[in-house]
Amino acid sequence: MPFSRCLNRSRGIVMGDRKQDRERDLVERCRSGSPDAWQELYRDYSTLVRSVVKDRLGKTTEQDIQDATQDVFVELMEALKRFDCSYGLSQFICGVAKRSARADRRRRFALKRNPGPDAFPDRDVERENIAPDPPPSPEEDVELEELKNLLRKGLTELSARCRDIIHYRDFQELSYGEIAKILGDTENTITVTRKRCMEQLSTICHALLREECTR
Amino acid sequence: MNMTDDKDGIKGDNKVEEHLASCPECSRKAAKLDQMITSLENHKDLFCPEIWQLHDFVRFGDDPSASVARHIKRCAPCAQKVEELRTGTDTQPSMPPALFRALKEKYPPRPSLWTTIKDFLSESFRLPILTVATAAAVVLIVVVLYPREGPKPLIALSTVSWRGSFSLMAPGLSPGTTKKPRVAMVIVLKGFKPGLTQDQIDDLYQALKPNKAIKEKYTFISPDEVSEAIGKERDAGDTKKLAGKLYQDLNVSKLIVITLQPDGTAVKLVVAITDARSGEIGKEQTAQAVPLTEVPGTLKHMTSMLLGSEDR
Repeated sequence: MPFSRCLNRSRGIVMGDRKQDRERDLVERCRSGSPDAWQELYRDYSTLVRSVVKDRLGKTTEQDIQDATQDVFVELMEALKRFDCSYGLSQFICGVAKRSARADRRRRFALKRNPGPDAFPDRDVERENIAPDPPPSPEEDVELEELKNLLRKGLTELSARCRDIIHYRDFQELSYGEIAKILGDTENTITVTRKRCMEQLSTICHALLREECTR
Repeated sequence: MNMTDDKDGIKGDNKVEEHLASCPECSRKAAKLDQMITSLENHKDLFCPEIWQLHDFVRFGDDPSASVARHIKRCAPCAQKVEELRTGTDTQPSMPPALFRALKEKYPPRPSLWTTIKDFLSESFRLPILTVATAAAVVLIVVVLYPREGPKPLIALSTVSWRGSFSLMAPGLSPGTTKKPRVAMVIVLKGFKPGLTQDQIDDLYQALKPNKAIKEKYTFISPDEVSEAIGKERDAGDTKKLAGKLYQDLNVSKLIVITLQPDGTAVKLVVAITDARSGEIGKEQTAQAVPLTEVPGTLKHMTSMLLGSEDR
């Protein structure tokens, strides 16, 4: 979609024309290399980037987080050319940050498995202080995230009743009795319905899996 | 994709089963998915908003149907994330020098338009006077062809008073009083033909009257007082100037500009908070296609939400 023809996203109160216009304006100024615009972008989104990076890198030093945050902004200098309003700017930046941090983590993981003599030239102390990463490899992480996204999508495709029951039971950890009270049903009905909802979720997720695989 | 029937039943799909039976990779993932489904309570993050949604909630006050606000009340990790984001946002980080250098490398300073024109013309013409004159003509053409601004939006004022239910502090706080940020609200009408009647405008200001909870955080300037300060200057084109005036005259620290614009048979609403001192626009919310009858209620909800999410 050409940048000049960004469509208004009808997301109710979420995203208004003015916010969209402001994002478009900011991106355009960044693309033209305005230092003020980049300063604004950094001020508005570095907290988000930092948060994503911190989550993705796992246990690491403050310096590494700062470096990785900076890497994301360097990557954005190129990536912003692809911004086309299909998503909000935050969502777009979040995507770039996740990819960048994932690549960073892959590099670090590879380095840890096979550290060359110059792997950490001046940072022996830091290396000692960093605890080894938790078992999952970056690839396993990617897969887990992929599956979680699929599950999230699956949850949205369930009926509202199923979603409510699952939310009450698995997120809020209410008892079947409490859920029955809220939804005005019997405990037995809720128990049976939840089981059916879970089966339904599994069916939906399998279909989504196939869809992704054969795409 | 629609896999559901009306009674929470399951509508299986043979193609899916066939695929899973023939694709070891998908079969492995399907098993993993089923494992996750049976232990959903261990994957609570599936029910959480995305990090960018939390960020937009903190930074811009975005919260469709207040779902984020509701969620963080129940979810400690998300509440903590929101707090982290809020702290980070408050510090107003500035770009590190290394990044600034990278930026300069990526975008080396370009010659100004004037220099470009002069260089171009000096290659084409030998006479300096002719060069300058032609450059001026080119600049003139650029100026003439530049599109003009459309009709300017107007401020709608009211003599509605919010006094009585609570006391207003006079401009310039008296010593000893609790210092709460002073907030003024101004309605701006954009593109209404014919305009709204004074009664309709008064109704809107009446609907904006803040509730008790929000009054604990802010001191609100009554619309009649705002009206008096603004006087006859109804042009809403320059929010910064308006904010500056209210900052100076009424000691206002936050100005809420509520813009109403026709949207088919309904109204589009934009509520934005401006820092009166700096004139910088902060959080804002937009509601599209709001039926006329729902405008007052929606405005009240939007302003409360925006002020509720605003850090003092």
